[in-house]
This record gives sequence, C-alpha cells and structure tokens, in this order.
Amino acid sequence: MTPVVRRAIFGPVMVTGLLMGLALAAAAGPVLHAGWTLAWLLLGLTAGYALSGSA
Amino acid sequence: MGLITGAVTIATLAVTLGSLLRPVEPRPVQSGLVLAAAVFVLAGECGLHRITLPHRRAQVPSTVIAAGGDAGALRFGFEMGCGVRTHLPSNLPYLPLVTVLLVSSWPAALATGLGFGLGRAAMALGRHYSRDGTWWDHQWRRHERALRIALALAAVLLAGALVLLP
Repeated sequence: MTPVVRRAIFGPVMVTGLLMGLALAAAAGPVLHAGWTLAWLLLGLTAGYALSGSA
Repeated sequence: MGLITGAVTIATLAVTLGSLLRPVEPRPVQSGLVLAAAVFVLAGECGLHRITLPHRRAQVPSTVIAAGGDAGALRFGFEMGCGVRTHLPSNLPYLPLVTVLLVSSWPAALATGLGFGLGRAAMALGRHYSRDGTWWDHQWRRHERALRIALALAAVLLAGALVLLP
C-alpha cells in the first residue's frame, strides 16, 4: 500500500465521511428497523471519534 | 481493550440509572429531552454557544503520550473510554449518554459503549496506521471545524432516528 493510499484510508477526512455515510444509511427507517444495533453502535462511534486530538 | 471496557462501563452505569427514570417518564418527554440535547450539542459544534458540559479540564501531557509512540494515547485506554478522567473538546459524548440514559435497552447501551470505545480507538489507530502522525494531526487541525460539525450532524441524525422511529 502506497503512503498516499494509506493516508487517504486512515485520514480523519475519509473516516468522518465514512461515518457520515453509515449514519445516513443506518438512520433510514427500514435499516433502523432491521438492524437497530448498528444505529446505536454508530452513535457511540461518532461521539468517540469526535474526541480525536484529545486525551 | 481498555477503551471499550471504559466506555461499556459508563454505558452500563447510564442504562442502570436510566432504568430508574424510564418507567416514570412518558416517552414523549424522553424523546423531547434527547432532541433538546441534540440541538444543544449541534449548536455548540456550530459555534452558536460556548457552554461546555462538565469534564476534566487538563489534558494528558503530550510528552507522556509521545513516549508511547504513535498510538501512545491508547495507554490511557480506560480513562479515554469512560471519558470521565480525560479532556473533552466537544459536548458530543453527552448525546449518546443522554440517549442511553433515557431511551435505550441493555443491548443498545452495550452497543453504544462498544461504539464509543471503537471510535476513540479509531483516532489513535488511524494515526498509527497512516504511518505519518504529523500529517494526521495537520489534517485534523486543518479540517477540525468541518469534521466536528459533520460528526455532530451524524450523531444528531442517529439519535433523532432512534427516538422518533420506534
């Protein structure tokens, strides 16, 4: 894996975009009904990732 | 592992405390409180207010984290996972906390705790696997405001869907 690809995959912009996409999919009614755990998991994930840059 | 343990511990405490509230609060009140928390958090991330909810003001010194390499923050897994003993640059973690407290079930609380731990780990692991921590930090600082708003929007969307689509 080249450094450029590695950065693109693990960079904060790409990860945040991925979380946004998953949140949109998980919040859709049918998905929410079929897989509610995913929505709860993503709610925690987004909040945890938002604390990036701190410890 | 410490991150997930810390986050699941707090989620378990929240759902336990919430079990005292949920039976006596009508569902519309619970939903209203979660939505109010969502609006408050989103407004804060958008810079519309500067109110910060309680958290530890001091950060772990960067020299201590740097001593652990790129993933040095993971040495404080339990503290970072529970969020009680670490600095919170955002009010966003209060949104899943309130949602778990007021409307979740036990499995949902565990899933949220697991997600929060994974989310905190994703930062340190992403920084580590990018193989360029300086670049990662620069990217975060450069886009921080937009990233925080995007993450808050995602969390607000999820919390709203969870309370409005039973």
